Amino acid sequence: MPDKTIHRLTILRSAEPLPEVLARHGFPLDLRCGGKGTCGRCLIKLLNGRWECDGQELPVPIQAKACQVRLLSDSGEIAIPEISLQQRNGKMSSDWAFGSLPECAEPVIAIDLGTTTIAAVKIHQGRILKRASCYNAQNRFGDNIIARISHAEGSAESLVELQRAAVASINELLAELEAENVSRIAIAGNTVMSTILHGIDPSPLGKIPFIPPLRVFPVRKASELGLKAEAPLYTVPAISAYIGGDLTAGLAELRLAPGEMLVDIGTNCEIIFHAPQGLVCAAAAAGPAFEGAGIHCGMRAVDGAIEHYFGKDKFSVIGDTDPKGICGSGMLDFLAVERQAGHLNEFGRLQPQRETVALAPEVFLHERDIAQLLKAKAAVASGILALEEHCQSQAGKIFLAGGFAQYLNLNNAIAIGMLPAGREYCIAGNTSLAGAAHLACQPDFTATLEKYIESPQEIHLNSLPAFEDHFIDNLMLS
Amino acid sequence: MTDFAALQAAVLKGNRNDVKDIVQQAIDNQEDINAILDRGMIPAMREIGERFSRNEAYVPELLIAARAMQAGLTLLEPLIAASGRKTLGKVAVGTVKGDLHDIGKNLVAIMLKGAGYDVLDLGVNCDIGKFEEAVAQGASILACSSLLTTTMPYMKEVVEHFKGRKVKIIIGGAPVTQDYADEIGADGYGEDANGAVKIVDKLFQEA
Repeated sequence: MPDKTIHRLTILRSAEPLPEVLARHGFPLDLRCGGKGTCGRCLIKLLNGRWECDGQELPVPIQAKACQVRLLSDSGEIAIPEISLQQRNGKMSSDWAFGSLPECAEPVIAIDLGTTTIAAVKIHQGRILKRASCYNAQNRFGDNIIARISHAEGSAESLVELQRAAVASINELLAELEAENVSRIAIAGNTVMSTILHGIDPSPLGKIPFIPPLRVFPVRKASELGLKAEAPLYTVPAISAYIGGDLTAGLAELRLAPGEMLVDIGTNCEIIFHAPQGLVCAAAAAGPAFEGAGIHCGMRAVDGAIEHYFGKDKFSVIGDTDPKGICGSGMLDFLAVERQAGHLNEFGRLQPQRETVALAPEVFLHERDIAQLLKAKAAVASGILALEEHCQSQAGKIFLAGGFAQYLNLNNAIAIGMLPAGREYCIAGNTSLAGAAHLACQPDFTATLEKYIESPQEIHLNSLPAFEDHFIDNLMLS
Repeated sequence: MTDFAALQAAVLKGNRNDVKDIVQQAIDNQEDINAILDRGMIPAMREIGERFSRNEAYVPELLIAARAMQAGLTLLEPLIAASGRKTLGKVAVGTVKGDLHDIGKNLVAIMLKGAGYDVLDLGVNCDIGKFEEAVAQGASILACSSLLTTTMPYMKEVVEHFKGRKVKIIIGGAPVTQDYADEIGADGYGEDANGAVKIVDKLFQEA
C-alpha cells in the first residue's frame, strides 16, 4: 500500500507562496514542474479557510495544487498527503568502480552537484570516511536545467535564490560530514549547476550558440559562496554548455582509451567517445521518463519504487515495502520482459489491445507512459549510434556512468535497444564524484582536468542527418 | 493499377520500404499523381493523425508513419511540382532562433504535407529574416516551434514583428501552451503535430 500518512497543518496568511511556507516548516512539496501548476504532484486538500486559485475562490473542502492557491482568510487548514512531499531516502550513488584515491594526508571533501541530487564524501588518507547525500533544493524551481536557466533569467534576485538553494543543500551535507577541519573541497557538476553555484548568470547556456560564460572556475574560499566551510573550493572545469564538469571528471578519471566511450544516462544523456580522430562528445535530450517524471505511476528510485520487474506480480521494491510506483530500472525491465512475452508489439502497444496494464495493486503503466519510455530509450540509442556513425567508428567498450546505470539490468537495456548489442559494458558508478575526489585529494589534478576540457570536439546531434533516422528506428522494440 | 489500400496500410504501419516500392511502381505505371496523393498518402496520414487525437496512436507510431510518408513524398515531390497540383495553401515551419531541436518541427512539416499543404521547411535557429523570406515566397501561415523555455520568448518577437500583417502565426513545442499563445497574441496553438494540422485547417477555412 502507498504511504497513507497525511499531515494536517494550519496555515497563516502571508505574502510568501504556500510551497515556500511549507518548505520552511519542514514540508518540502514535490514541485518538479517548478511550481508552474503543470505536473500535479503537489496536490493537497484545503479543509477550511478561504482560498483562491486563478482569481476564483474555491469551495472547501477541495483538492488543489498547492503551488497555485493563495489563502485569502487569516488562517486555513490543509492536509498534505505524504506522496505530495519531496521523496527522501532515495538511492543516491556515491560509489565508483575504479582506481584508488591519491594519497593525501589532510581530510578533504568531494561533492557531486547534480541537477536533482547531491552526493558528497569525506576522504582522509586515501579512504572514504563518510558519505552523505540529499536532494538539490533547486528542485522547487523546476526539475531540469532548462527550467533552472529560465528561472535564473527572470531577475538578479531569482539567480541569487537558485544559488542560495544549492548552497543550503550543500551546507546540509557539509554539516553531516563535519567540514570544519577539512583542507579542501572539490565539486563537480553540470555546467548549469556550476555556473549558478558561482553566482554567474547561466542564460547563455540556454540558447544557440550555447557558449558557457565560464568553463574554468576560479578557486574560491568556500565561505565566499555562502558555504559553511573555510576551506578553498575547487570546481571541475566544464567542456561545454551541455558537457559539464561532471563529464570532465569522468573523462579524466577513466582516461578513455581509443575505442572507449563514456555514457552518462540521465535527463540529458551525455556521451564522450574516443574516436580515431580524437575525443568527440554530444548530449541527447532523453527527457525525465527514466527519472519517473511524466509517467502516471513513475517515481524516482526511492523507497516504494518497483526497481526490478520480472513479470506480472513478480518484482522487487526498494526498501522492501509495498510498491507505490515504478522507477526507471523497473520500467526498462517491463519493456524487455513484456516484449519478450509478446504482451507488447514493436510499437510498444499492449497486446491484447488495451490502454493500461496493472503491475501491482496501485501501480500501472499506460500506453502513453510506454510511448514516453520509447522516446527516452531511443534518444540514448540514437545519440550513441549517430555519434559513432559520424566518427565512422564503433566503440568497443562503453562505460556507463550515473545512478540510473548502476541499477539497470544491462541485458534488458540491450534487449529493448536502449544500448547497442555486441559491446563490452562497464558500470562505472558516480564518475563525477570520483573525479571531484581526485581533485580534492590532489589539487594539482586541476592541470590534467584543464587539459582534458580542451580536447573533446562537441557535436550537435540535431545537426547530424543520421540522428533523426536512428531516433525513429530506435523508437521501436526489436 | 495501384493498390491504394496497400499504400495506405504501408503508411499507417510506417513501412517505408513498402511505401517507396508502391509509390515507385505507381509512378512507373504513369499513375495520376493526384490519385496517389488523394487516394493513398493523404487519407493515410489524416487517419494516423485522427488516431493520434483519439489516443489510439502515440508519438512513436506517428513519427514512424510520418517517416514512411516522407519516403513516398520524396519520390513524388518533383512530379507534384511539375504537375501544377493545387495545394490547400502554403505554410512555413521553423524552429525559432536560439533553438536547434527539429524532430517535432519535422513531424509537423510532414503532417502538414500529408494533409495536403505546401510546406516550406525553414529549418532550425530561424530569425525574423527567415520568416520574412517565407512570407515573400507566399507562405500565409508561419508555424514556429521551440523546445526550450529559454527560446520560447523569441516567438513573441516573431508575433510582434508581423502584427497587423496578413500572415498568421501559430506556435507549438513541448513547453508551449495555449495560455502562452494567448499571452503573446499568436493566431493559434498546436498542442501536438495533429493539433497543428487542425489549427492550420481552421485558419485557412476562416481566410
